[in-house]
Parts: sequence; structure tokens; C-alpha cells
Amino acid sequence: MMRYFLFVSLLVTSMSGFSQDTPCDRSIKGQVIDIDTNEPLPFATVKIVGTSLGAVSNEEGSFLITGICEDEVDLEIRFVGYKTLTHHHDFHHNTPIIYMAADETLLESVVVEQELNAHELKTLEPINIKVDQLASLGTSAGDLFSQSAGVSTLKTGQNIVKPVVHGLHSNRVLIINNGVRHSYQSWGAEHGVEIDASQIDRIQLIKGASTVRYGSDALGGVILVNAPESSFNTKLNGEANVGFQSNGRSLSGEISLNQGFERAAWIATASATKQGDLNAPDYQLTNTGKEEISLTAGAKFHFPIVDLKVYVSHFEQTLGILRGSVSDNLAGLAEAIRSPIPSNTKSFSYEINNPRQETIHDLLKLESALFLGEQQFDFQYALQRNQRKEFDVRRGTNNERPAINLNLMTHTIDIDWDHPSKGLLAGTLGAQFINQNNDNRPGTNTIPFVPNYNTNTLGLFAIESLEKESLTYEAGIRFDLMNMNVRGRDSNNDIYRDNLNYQNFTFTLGLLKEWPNFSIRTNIGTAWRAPNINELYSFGKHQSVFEFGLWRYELFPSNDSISTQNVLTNDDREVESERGLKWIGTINYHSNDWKVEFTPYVNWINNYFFLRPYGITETVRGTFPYFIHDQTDAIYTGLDLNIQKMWNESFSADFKLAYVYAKDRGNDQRFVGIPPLNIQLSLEKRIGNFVFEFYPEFEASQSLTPSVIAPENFESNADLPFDRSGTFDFVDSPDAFLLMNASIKYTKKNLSIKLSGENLLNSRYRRYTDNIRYYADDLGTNVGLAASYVF
Amino acid sequence: MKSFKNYLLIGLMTMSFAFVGCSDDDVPAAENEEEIINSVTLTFTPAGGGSAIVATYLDADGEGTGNPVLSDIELNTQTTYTLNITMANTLESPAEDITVEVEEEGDEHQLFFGFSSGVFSDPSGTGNIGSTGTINYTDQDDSGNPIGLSTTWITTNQGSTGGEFRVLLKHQPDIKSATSTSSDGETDIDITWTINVSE
Repeated sequence: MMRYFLFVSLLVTSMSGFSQDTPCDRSIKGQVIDIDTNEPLPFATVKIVGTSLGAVSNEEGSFLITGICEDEVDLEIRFVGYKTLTHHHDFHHNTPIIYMAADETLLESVVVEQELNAHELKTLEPINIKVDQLASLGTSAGDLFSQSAGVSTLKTGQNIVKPVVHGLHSNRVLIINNGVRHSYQSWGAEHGVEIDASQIDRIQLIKGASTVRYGSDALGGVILVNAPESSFNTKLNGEANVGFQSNGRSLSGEISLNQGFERAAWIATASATKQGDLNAPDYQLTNTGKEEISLTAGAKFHFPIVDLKVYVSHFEQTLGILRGSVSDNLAGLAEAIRSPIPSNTKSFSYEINNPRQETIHDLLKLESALFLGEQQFDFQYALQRNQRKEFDVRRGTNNERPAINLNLMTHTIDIDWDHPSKGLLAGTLGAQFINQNNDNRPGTNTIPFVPNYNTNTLGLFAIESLEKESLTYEAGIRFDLMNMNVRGRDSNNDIYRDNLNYQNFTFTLGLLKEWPNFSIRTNIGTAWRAPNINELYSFGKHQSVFEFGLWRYELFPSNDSISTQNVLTNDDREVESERGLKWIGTINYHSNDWKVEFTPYVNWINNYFFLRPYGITETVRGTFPYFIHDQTDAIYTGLDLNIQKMWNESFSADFKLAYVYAKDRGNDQRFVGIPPLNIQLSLEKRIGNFVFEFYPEFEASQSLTPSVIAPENFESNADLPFDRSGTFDFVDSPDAFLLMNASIKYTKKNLSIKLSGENLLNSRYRRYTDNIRYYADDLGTNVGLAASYVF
Repeated sequence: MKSFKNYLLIGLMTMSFAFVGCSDDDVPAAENEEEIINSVTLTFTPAGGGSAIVATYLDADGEGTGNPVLSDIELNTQTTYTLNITMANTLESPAEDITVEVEEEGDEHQLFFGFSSGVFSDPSGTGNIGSTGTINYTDQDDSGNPIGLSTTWITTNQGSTGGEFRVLLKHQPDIKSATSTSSDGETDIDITWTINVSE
């Protein structure tokens, strides 16, 4: 740390030596973009304050001003019908990108100089989503991600939502929160993402294997989430949002304040949500309330050579899980699936009982960027603290104790160097260091489901691109080294320890070809991840199944038996990292009124971790099927299609289609929970201050499913009624559904109001990728009313 | 390649030591496994004296995949028995007696019984699991509702072999009442023994 600052100050001193007597040969290149549509804005005027110099943006929104004498200038950007903006620019910084906001919108015009994670792969199409503050109130972050074709959700009811990218989720999708690798107990399918939806301003989705850039776990893709940025040169201003939703009778509020000076700016936000029991069309979903509180603060400093940023956030959640989803044994599970109304259904309440989850996520980030002419250094340190408590339905006073109580501390250091271009070649070299410490907190009265562990990970990467006319070639390589130290207790409370090392090379190769209205991207890349802690060490009951990690069971084929007495090591059973090879192509076409994006992909995964049923165990509570973690080979392939059509300024349509095909290659079987074909349509019409949107959603029934064995078909002391090699499901996949949704938004001056209705026909439906589908219908009609006021 | 890896490992270790207090070596605290009941004992004491008949259930590895060991219930015909049930967690040392906990939380727990018809003359029928039979409970919670740790049974005059005797312990916090049944609440115990009645 100290050494780094010394280095910076040395450079600063040495730079000052030759920054005098500048001739008038400086220039500024930039781009003007509409913040709302992300389209370039031609004919915007850019002026240097106090001089006669200036330029007008062209068709691509680009402008160039030459013959500037000063090191630092004030730029004024104007466009009729848009909010005028002043930006202080100096020549050490990158190309400014000016996002102009129209007068009638609530957004402010802003300048982005150095995009967070700007060194992304050019041959992987990033999908940018600007989040509507009125739509994000009270929802889950996971739901916001699924606005793009190819990204769906894995749910445990409405409150616990994880993003699924091209059929993969949890430890196979990497989330970068405000530039930091988001650290939480990502291994569990029923562990939400622990990011406050109302604090998300912009989302960027990268659906290719960009492990080379971001590190392990990015087999499916990467989701970058950014909070609102403070802007320079703005007087104290703010925004207050409030939202109400009829389903769950939830109330959410958010307030943010921003102030910007010439060289410093700050932003602070606070938000809260309280939601009661949700309801399905025919009944209440008891114990599905939630409570959320979130606080953030950020400051940034802008100096000629160095930019500094500080960001802190605190997010705490209490999430209820449907009471009727708890079953004691197979007989109870059969009953829960059979019953037309979930058991223990009560009248509406804001009370959150067991089962529930309480999580806290804290983030502190320090970031600096150093601009040295042709090159740039980025240094980032982040500290994350994550606490997770899971309260199960238990006996007596144990109900007040969490059954799982984990504390995860993570330090990450990222250093990136954008080296000076060598001819046509440009690139980034980087290093990443991650230290994680996961501890079980005492007092659960149950032997920990996963052990304590510490990991240290070091990653080194280089990405180079070569631009030759309309062609961009790109190649990247990365080396990761990971050490994991594990300390746990077996079922007799005896201690076990292990020390594990993993190392992996990954690469990426890509090509981008651009024509005036047309572009083609193709990229092939590898990705890897080390086994999750639960895949190695889980033991016993979690939710309503029994599962055993790879090193907690031994199979004896000679007499077809299994033992869970011992804790194994890598010498007993070798467990290799999961490795993926993903090809993704994107064809883009755009004209004045059409925009088409077509994305096919193939993801070939070896050593794929999965859970397979192995037998039936008798416990004092009755009969349970149990599952063992194992590895196989898999393929995920499919396509995303997005078509946008603009008939005129006020009427447009957006069509999205996503299809995934997945298979267990090792056993020639299907997996459970692969997202079915999904089609979303949105029609938008503007009339005066009103925007009307109609957005139906169709989801097909998944036909490629494993065999179904109802819980009542299991018998105690009997053999498994199925082939052990693959997997099975307790019920068939749900029927196809069509949901009708619509909204009306009214904006005038500083006020914006949105009235929205989801599932307007109050249809009964279940989502295949929601774990609550076994027990209850999804949500009935929801009417939302949200308002936003800018001051 | 090998030495390159070693250098990296050394570097990694050095960096991790820089985070003082982060690279600890702590082991999770030993937890009392209170979740599990793995040993249940039925003691049938004949009313007219004589030695008690004991049937046991033991799941030595708790949540592991090993199956439990049960001993059969061997009763005599036309005899009145008092049945006392005890349960324990032997995975803990010393073993924890769960019976006390069930007794203390009597207003949240109830035992239900199911049996093959023709085994008992009183209660007759097949018990009160999923049906409306009565059981001769001899204990009560604070609200005057039965718990079932102590019950009385009279065998029929017919001998029988291979019958079933099922014991179901339900946890019914805020649910247990004079009208609550075997389908309410969570299952703590659900065991079926083989019962034989001989002359």
C-alpha cells in the first residue's frame, strides 16, 4: 500500500517536470449519448468555456476539438430539449462520454470518463441496462438482471432470486458489484444475491466465458452491477422514491443526495422495504414477508493525474420462506405436494417466522486510477463482510437459534495496467488477489453443514486486442492459483482438516467485424471453478433433503453399499476443478427503425458438479431420499434473440426470446431446473407526458426433464425406484403460461408516477425454475404504484 | 514450471500473512447436536407384575446413510401393560435424554400410535394416526391434553405375529389442542416396530 503511494508521488513529481510550456496542440475527443436510449446524439454542441473553440457531434455522436492550449478546461455540452452540462476536463483522462438527459426526464446529464471495468473484452457483446428507479423499488436484484434475453431466474419463492445465465447459476455466474467481485455464500441455490435492487443504476451483462478478465466461476457469464455515480459540478440535489405494491402490501422508500464540486463529489442513499405475506390467485402464501434496509455513501476526487473513489454500503435483509414448503419426511413431502392449499396457511400478516433467512452484506471499496498519457493504472482494494443466518423449523427453543450461521470476510485487491498502445495493439495486464475467511459462528446446536475455511487466490492475466480497420482480433490468457485451508467437524464432533491447492490456465480468443449497419462477434473462451465447499464437505439435512459432499461418502460397488463414516481427502477420491469451454457469437443489425441481435452459444463443461439421488435412509423422523455430490460432463447450448422495432418517435416494440438445451453427457440424462423457452414482448407508446407499456410474458413447459418419481412411490427399506446414474424429479414440469402485464408512467417536471399491473388476469401458474413450485402457485395479480421526485 | 508454481505459492503465502488476523486456523466450535433423536426405547410393564418387555430403536450414525436397528415387541395375550417411552440422543456424550424435554414442552408435543387390528382389545381399532381411534393416555400437559409418554394397553386373547406398532411424535407449537390430530405440526419421531403377541 505504502509502496504504491510512494510510486504515485514519484510519478507525479517526475510528470510535473515536463508539463510546462505546452504548445496549443491539445485535442479532446468524445462522444455524446442519450442517457435514456443509449443511442448516439448527433448535432450536440460542445464548447470550451472562455474560448471560441468548439465542435458539433456527428452521426455517431462523436466530436473532436483541436488547438487547445490549456492543460485543464471546462467543457459545456448543449442540445435543444436536453439538460445542459458543464464538465471539467484535463488531458490525463480518457475520452469523455457524455450522457445527455432530456428535459422531461428526471435523469441528470452526466459524464463518464473511466468506465468501471472498462477493460472488458471487446469480442463479447456487453448488454447494458439502465435500471428504472421506479421499477426497482421493492423488487429483488435477481429480477432486474432477467430483463435481458438469455438471463432468467432461479427462485425460492418471490424473495430469494438468483440470476441464471444461459442455464447456469450460483457459483457458475459471477457478480461484480460496483467493480468488486461480489462475495457471499453463493454455493446455495436458495441463497439470494444480497444486493439491494434499489441501489442498482446500471447493469451490464456479459454472457460469454470472461474468466480471463474476471477470474474463476464465470462459466455462464458475468453480471456487473453499478450503483448511481455522483457527478461533479452539481449543486446539492437529490431524489426521493416511494413505492407500494398490493401483493404483499409492501411499502418501499428510497432517498438519495448528491453534491458535486470541481474536483470532488459525493452521493449518499438510504432505502427500506417492508413486505407482508404475498398471495397466489387462490390463497395466501404464509410467511413470505421480507424486510430490507440499505445505506450507501460514496465520494470521488478528480485530480489531473489521479482519480480516487471511496464507496461503502450496508445491506440487511430478513426473508421469509413459504411455511408450507417445509416437510418432515417423504410422507410429509407427498402430503405437501398433494395438498391444494399449502399447509399452515393463515391470514395476511407482516410477521416473518421460520423458515427465514437473515443476511447482512457490507462493502468498503477504495479505488484509484492513475492516468499517464497513453497508459492507465487502476488499483482497487475492497473489504466485504457477509453474515448469513438461516432459521429452520426446529424443536423447542432451537427455533430461536439459526441452524446455519456463517460469517464470511473477503479482501480483494485488483491491479490493472492498460499499457501504451504499440501500433495497432492495445491491452491490459492485471493481477487479482483474494483472501476469504469463512467461519461458522457457534451456538447453532447442530454440527455445521459446511466447515470453516480460508482461501487465498492469486490471478494474473493479459488481454491484448488488435484493431485493423473494421476488424478487431482479441486474445487473453490467465493463470489462477488457489489455496484452500479447511477445518471442520464430522458427525462425532471429531476435527478434520485439509489443505487444498488448485491451479488453472484459461484463455479467450475473439474476433469482431464491423460494417456500417452490421457487426459480428465470435468468441471462444475457457472458464473454471474449484469445487464449492458444500460439494466437498456437506453432510446431512439441508432444507428437506439429505446430501453428502464428495468427500463425505464412500461407495463399495462389490456389495452395492455406501458408508458415510469417514471424511476423505483428495488421495482417496480425486476431485478436479470444473472446466468449461464456451463459444458465443453475436450478430447485430441496426437501421433507423430496426435493431436485431442474435446470440447462439455452446458451453461444453467437464467435471460438472451435480447432485444425484443415491438411496433412501431411515431416520427417526421417517424415510428420506438422500443425494450425493458427484461429477459428470455436461453441455449447455442455445440461443437468444432480441428484435426492436421503432415505428416512430412515440411507438416501439421489443421482442425477446431465449432457449436453452442442456444435457448430462456423462450419463446421457437430463438435469432438473433448466429454464424453458421464454418469450417476452413489450409495446411502448408515448402520448404527451404519458408512456403506456404492455408487456406480456410467455413461458413454455419444459419437456426435456428427467423421469418423475412421486414421493409416495418411494417405500421404506426398498430399493430406489429409479436408475441411480442420473437424477429425477418429484413432480412433472409445470404447464406453459402467459402473463399479462401493463404499466402507465406519467412524468412532469420533477415528478414521475408509475402505475403498473402484473399478472392482470390473475392466472394460476408455476415457474419450473422456482423451488416453491412443488408446493404453491406463483403470485396472483399485483398492482404497484410508485412515485419519484427530483429536487 | 514446477519452480514457477513454488514461487507463486510462496508469494501467495506471503500476501496472505500480510492480512494479519485473516489467516486464522480456527476450528468450528463443537456443537451439541440437539437436532437428532437417534435412540427410542419402549418399555411395556405388565400390570400384574413380571418382567418388563423392552423394544428398542437405534440409529447409530444419526444423519448418515446407515440404517437403524430395531428389536421386535414381544407381548403376551390378555395382559394389561403400561407403556413408557424414552428417547435420547446418543451421538452426544454423555447421551442427552430427550424425554425430559418432551415432558417439559408437553403443551407442544403429542405421541400418536398406530397398530394392526386384532393386536389390542383396549384400545381397539387401529389407533389415532390418520384415523379417529382412541388411545388410553395416562399423562397430561398443563392444559389437560394428553402427551403420550405413558399409556395403557390390553392385548387380545388371540396370538398374532408380524403386526405393526407405529409411534409418531408430533411437535405442535401453538397448534396442540384437544382437537389437534396426527396430521398437525412437525414430525420428531416416526418409527414402526414389528409386534408379536403370543400365549
